[in-house]
Amino acid sequence: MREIHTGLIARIEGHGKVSIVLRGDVLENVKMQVVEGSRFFETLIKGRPWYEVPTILMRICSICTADHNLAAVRAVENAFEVEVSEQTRLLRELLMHGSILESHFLHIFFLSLPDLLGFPSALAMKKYYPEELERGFRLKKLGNDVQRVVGGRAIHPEKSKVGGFTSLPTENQLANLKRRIVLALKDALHTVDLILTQDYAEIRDSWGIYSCLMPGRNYDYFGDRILLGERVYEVSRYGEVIVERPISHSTAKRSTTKDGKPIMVGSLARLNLIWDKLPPMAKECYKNSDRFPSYNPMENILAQAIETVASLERCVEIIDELITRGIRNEKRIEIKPKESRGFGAVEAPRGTLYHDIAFDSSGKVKACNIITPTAINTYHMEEILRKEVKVMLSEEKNDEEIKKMSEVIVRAYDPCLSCSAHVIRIKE
Amino acid sequence: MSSIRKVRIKIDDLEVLADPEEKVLDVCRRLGIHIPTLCYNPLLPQERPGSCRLCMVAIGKGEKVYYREACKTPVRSGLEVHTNTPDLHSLRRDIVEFLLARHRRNCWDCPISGNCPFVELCRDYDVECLTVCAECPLQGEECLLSQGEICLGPLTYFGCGAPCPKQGHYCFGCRGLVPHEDIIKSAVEVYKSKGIDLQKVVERMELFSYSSEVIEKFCEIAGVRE
Ligand code: SF4
Ligand code: FES
Repeated sequence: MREIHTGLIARIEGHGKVSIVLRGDVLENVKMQVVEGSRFFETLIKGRPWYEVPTILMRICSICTADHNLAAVRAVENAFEVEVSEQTRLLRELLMHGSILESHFLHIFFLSLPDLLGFPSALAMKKYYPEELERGFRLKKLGNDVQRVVGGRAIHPEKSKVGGFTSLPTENQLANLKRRIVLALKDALHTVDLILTQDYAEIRDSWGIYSCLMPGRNYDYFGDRILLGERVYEVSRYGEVIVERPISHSTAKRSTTKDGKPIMVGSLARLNLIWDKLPPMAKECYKNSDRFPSYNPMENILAQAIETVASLERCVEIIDELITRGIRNEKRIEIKPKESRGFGAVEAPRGTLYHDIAFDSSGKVKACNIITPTAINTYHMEEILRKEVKVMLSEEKNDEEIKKMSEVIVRAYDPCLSCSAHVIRIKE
Repeated sequence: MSSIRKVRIKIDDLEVLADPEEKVLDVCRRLGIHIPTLCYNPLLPQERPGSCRLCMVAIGKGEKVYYREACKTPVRSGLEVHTNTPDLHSLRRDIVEFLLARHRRNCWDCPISGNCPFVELCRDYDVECLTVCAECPLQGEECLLSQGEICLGPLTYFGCGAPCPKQGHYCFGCRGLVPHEDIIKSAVEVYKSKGIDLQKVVERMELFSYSSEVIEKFCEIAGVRE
């Protein structure tokens, strides 16, 4: 009996490692271990009033803060049957794109690109790829600035509330932002090209079960229905799409389909399922790349790059629409709490994020369940690792190569482990 | 200025020539040496210039050091001045505390909050008894309290620059609550005067400061349950 451990994997969000158990030369088990401490968000939210819910829940993550905020806001609004205005909807979509841009560029340039280009870290790339690195910084900042203008801060957008926004961006601010976004489009297209010219490991996902939310008219990261392959479910029936159960070797739960198969969510899943909603330039990238639909999780990074083009395009459209409509000084919608349960889902950068919150009659939280994209992806990751390690063993690769490859695979999913670890529930 | 005979003085071990009509503070300003002052601030009433005593400097050296207000001390030949010693630091710190102890606490109604000179002083001298309201430019009708929002600005440590209230979001006390009795008292008063339910204030404080001594004191002063 022999074990190979990767140690804590660098360049991902949170702490996790891969353990490979061998008996002789035969693979016994592969474990993706999330070693983050449990975070108990679902418990500590109990008893808090509805208006604090987005404020607290967006602290789950420091990368996709806007996504957690909007998922919680949508859950509360769903529970109390609030309909927001068109302006609020547009601003929320803009906020969402800001978060997508920030998170995707962070992953592309600083976490995954070093793998593709063969460097140990992003800083080591400085000598050979100074322009790329600088572009990365510039683009990521743009994502943060979109969130700052709409949400009030670069992270944790406090302005975005149940029923609307506490204050609105000015038309001037939006116009300035637009100027930068138009410039950034060229940078984003460059990035797609750069990634296209790299070689990936050839990995095939033999299950091919993808899931994402069904978008409205646009590629907008919101939706009230879930796509699981061809099938469609209401968000309130997410329990039929994803079945969760705790496992002993990790603080994240294992999520599978009803019949126990691994699901993949995130950029790759979205492009495979809803690519026809992409705005024109992104659609062109999608078609020209000639790689989709793709069953190779390593191509997640390419999918992310194409999505950044889509988000930049949508940002321009939204800002144009907001400016032609004129920013109206709308008040937030008044909320009347009642005993009820609400579901809110958004497409976070890493995949579908579910918030399910139940309130008592005074509007205090009674129960809460959250499923994060990484929690869904972890099982998929494990299964892919299991397959690949087997292949590597048959090719008689040494331990170091196996370790390195496992890390590269994990990183391709852009996991956010600290988000995935909060799902442990205490028995009452 | 050139026709008058100059005098030679030493500031922080630096020999400088000064005009005999100048005060030590003038020379320091000319040299770019920072000395805190509250007098002569155009935002404040100029009733009694030369009374804040923050401009204290150390004169002389060794055993024979004494402290004087730089704004009132004329230069004279051979004067030796130090502007930044550990003793001066703690002296100025005491002065800031003393001034604040006599200062009104209703920053939410103060016309210069948002530009309050105490903010800088408290930061530089580690005095921890200012609240977010001192940094928040909203006042009177604009203050979120007047709009019926339960803002924790009157109870929360300053230092963030009040980004939330400035954007219309009530302060939820993420920086922690100030355990200063005067501050809690005046906060209770303002909440009462704006007709805000004190029990709700307590609920809000619990988000970031669960079971803090401030909540205990607040409840005691306000006469509400914890
Ligand atoms: S809005 Fe809040 S922080 Fe600003 S002055 Fe009013 S109470 Fe103080
Ligand atoms: S500046 Fe106030 S006493 Fe000198």
